[in-house]
Amino acid sequence: MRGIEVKNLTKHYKETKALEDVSLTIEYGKIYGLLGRNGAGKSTLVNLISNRIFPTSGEIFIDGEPSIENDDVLRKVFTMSEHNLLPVDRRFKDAVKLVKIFYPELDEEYALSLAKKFDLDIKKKLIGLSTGYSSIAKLIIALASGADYVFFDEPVLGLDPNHRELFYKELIERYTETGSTFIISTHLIDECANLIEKAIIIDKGRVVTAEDTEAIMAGSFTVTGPAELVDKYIAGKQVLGSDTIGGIKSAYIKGAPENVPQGLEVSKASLQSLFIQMTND
Amino acid sequence: MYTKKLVRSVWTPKEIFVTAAILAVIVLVFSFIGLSNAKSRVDDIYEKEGTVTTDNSKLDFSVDNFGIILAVGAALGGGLGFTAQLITISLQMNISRKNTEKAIAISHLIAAVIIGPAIMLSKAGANYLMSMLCSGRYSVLKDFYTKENITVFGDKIPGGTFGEIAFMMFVVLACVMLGTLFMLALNRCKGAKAFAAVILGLIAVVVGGIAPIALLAGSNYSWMVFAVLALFVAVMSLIHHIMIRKLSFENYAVAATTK
Repeated sequence: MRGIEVKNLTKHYKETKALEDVSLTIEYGKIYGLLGRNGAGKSTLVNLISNRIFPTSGEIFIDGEPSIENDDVLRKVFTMSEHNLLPVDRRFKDAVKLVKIFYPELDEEYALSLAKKFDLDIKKKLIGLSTGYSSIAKLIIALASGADYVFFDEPVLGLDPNHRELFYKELIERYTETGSTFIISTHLIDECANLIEKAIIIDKGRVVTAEDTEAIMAGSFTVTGPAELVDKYIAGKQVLGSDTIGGIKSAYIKGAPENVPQGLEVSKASLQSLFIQMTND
Repeated sequence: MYTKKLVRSVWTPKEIFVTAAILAVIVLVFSFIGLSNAKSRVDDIYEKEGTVTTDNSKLDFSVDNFGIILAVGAALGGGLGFTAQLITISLQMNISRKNTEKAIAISHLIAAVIIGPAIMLSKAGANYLMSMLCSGRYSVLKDFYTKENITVFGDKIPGGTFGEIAFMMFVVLACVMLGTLFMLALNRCKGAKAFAAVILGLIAVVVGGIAPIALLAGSNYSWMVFAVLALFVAVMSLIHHIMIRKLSFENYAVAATTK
């Protein structure tokens, strides 16, 4: 069975419960968004799957094999972290060669061509790169790694809009070419919403939802209008949340719009606004 | 396979050569400084007594040996640098703890095997060069450098030249292991500070390096010093195993890579 399966995963750091009884499946051959507020547990989940930390309890399977301390299976996962873990005294092209030792499927030619597209100086040492170009170096290596499951933890940190656009375009092309699974952990939800097929939303160490983004968005709608009218309409309905500015209120409602009175505007809820409502305190 | 890949990713031929070269330079520089001091001392004695004997107690060679101690300290820094890089690469490449531990152990042995002999052979080479630079009134120094050609501890170490090389390998191994332990231990402390790391590193040099050398210098029980060092290395290995296998060391990589 292809995919990453996480069963009843829990991670505690002394009194802090970083993840609590998380179970989910990451299917092979899809693009996922791993979404959550700061401190929600996203990086903890990624680090557990990558064997960088050990769970307090629970199991992780990659393509049906237990992954903890299993080097053969862990080869299928590549993680681009927020923090750089590559030797900073190496040049980009040498860093690519280093990764290829462990990931023989890495496409060196593709990595160098991507570097050219991003205007990355391949002869510069990693320590000499700016924040943006440091992110670019890491995401190029991740895209070129050839791994079956590639995690991107804040891949566009410090990137200008042009480079972000280029990254999303290259990600889609790479996905089309290789069919690998890409999991993007990001706070820029609106930017990635069209890219992400499935969304995993984590809040306070628990999974809030893990399903198709279309289903998440289709399963809710927004009504906007005078606050009094909105309040009358939403009575008895499952309301995810609301925002009020002046006398105008927007409510996010689960389900399909029915019998919406005149004076209220109905619109599709964006993934970001749904995320905010789902994870607000 | 993964252990080998991890070790080879850090210990490249270029790194090995550069490490040995830096240590050789340290030893050579201090040997030159030592010779310069010794020549000044010879001149002083010559002016006062009109002659210079081969009584070495009047001649100060501590600067030469200080170079050895500094080289051991530099070896600690270099050894720790390799270990640190190995750990961060292991985390990036999702290598299991068991293979990372094996790779760290091999890395330490490589450090000992390369650095220990590099220091001793550099000392031998430096001594040979110094002896060639002495003549005339300085020929008493020539006697000293020639006699001490490949030994630092003289007859205190059993096994002659090879005994001294083995001893230096042990010293380097002890230093690097203790230093690594401190690095891993610091990971467990919130807000590990660079200052604390430096202090602990210095303690590692003293305990692992200078103490055995000093003990040996003043001791008649050289086999006991060897035995203590071997026991020390064995204890360090066990503690490393516990630290790496049982405890998480991912925070080390974060601390090591962020300013």
